[in-house]
Amino acid sequence: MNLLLSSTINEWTKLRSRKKTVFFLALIALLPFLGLPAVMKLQGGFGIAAIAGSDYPITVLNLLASFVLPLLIFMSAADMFSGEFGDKTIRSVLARPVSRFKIFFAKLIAAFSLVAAGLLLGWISSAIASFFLPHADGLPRALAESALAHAVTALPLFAICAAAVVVAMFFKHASGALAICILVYAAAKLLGFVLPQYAAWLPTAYMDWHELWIGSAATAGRIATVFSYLLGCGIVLSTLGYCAFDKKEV
Amino acid sequence: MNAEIALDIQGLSKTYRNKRGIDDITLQVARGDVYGFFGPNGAGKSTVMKIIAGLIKPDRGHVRLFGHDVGDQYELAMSQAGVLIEKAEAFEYMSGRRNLELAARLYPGLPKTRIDEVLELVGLAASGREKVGHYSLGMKQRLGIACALVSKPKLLILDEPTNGLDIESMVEVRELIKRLAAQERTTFFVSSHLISEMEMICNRIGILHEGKLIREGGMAELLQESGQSLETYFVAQLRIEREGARHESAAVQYH
Repeated sequence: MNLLLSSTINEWTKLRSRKKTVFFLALIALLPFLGLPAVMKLQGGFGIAAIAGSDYPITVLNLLASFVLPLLIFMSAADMFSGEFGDKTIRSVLARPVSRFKIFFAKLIAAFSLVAAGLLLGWISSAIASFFLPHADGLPRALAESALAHAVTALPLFAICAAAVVVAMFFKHASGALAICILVYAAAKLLGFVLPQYAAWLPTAYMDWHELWIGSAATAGRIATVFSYLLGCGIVLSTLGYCAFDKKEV
Repeated sequence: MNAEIALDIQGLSKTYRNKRGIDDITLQVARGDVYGFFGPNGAGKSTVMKIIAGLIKPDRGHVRLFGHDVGDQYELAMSQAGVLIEKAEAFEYMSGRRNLELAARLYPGLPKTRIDEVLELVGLAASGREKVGHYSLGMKQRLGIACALVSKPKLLILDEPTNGLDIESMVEVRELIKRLAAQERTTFFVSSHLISEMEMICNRIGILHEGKLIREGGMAELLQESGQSLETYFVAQLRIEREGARHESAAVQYH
């Protein structure tokens, strides 16, 4: 357990030492403020509150969960898996008294914790930004709901994270893995518009499943079904990723 | 399980897709030995080293470090070993010190002063805070040696440790190996394609040729056998090997 924790700290240290990680986290923190002028202009144009302050964190979350955080995941997975095998730095990680099982899951946990940090940062930042917009009563309740929405969005992102790791294991270079991850994700999203009945089988179709939690239309049964599906996807894909990682020679 | 055997390799074989690899390597390295694993480029030295470090899996055979099987008890086996395979690969976007911190974190109980000690030992104390991306090839190699040394291992597996080093640094590395072997009884399994280097630092040697261990023995014994130098001895051994292979092939054709 100690070695898993130490390895996770190592992976996290590597992630946060990269400039692009810092850039993405800064972008997540600034995005809600960067979007404020556009929203305010929209409000002025319509003369009504197009996006109320209480809805703003959810609007930002939709943007983060669909584009920014998946991109951060693909980049991290490509660097941590394909990149380290490609430049052979993985040797300095593997030739230590830590099993490949622990190293793999340390990497996965570190990548996922980066996503969790992004979600937390996004929520804090959009919650602060929402105070600059006109809002109806019940802002505290809206903020609590948006916190819940951010928390539950971690699950589909975990499945995407595990899927990105599986894809990354097939590549020797981070750039190739990143490009294919983006293409596959874009294709899965496109499938949602073209053939929605098939897209429902992909975890990418549930990036907005937080709507089930904060709306009143969804039943507990529907939430349980999607939860089990996403968790199952994450577990199966993580296992596949581990099998590929364990067999990889360097 | 013999506690005096640091490294035990039994019947190790591995064939790559291009049909190259290693065939039935068996050898033992006793505690305190400086074992030279010599062979020309492409002989299979790195393959053996990588299998020992668990980076690749053998087709047959097994490796034990201090009695622990690398395949089944990896963490235990590697807990007392330090490894440097081919050229040192460090994370270039971090400092040398930060690279060492990553390595040291995986050995609970290691004193914090150890990182300064190894930086001093390999002559990187002044440049420890610089990013590895700014290091020269020789500095990177020395950092690789530092990473292998950081855990105070009882067995050091070094694959071509003097690669990329200037003459002064090569001498320093040789002296370091001799010093650690004499003072701390550290066992070394060192590969090189430079036979003169092996002659200077090793007390035992294994000669690898085209994936096979063609000769193994004490350095003094081999030098006595050769009459001159290890270089002459190696060339003579190669001739014997090639002659044997030619006879075998002729016999097969005749039948």
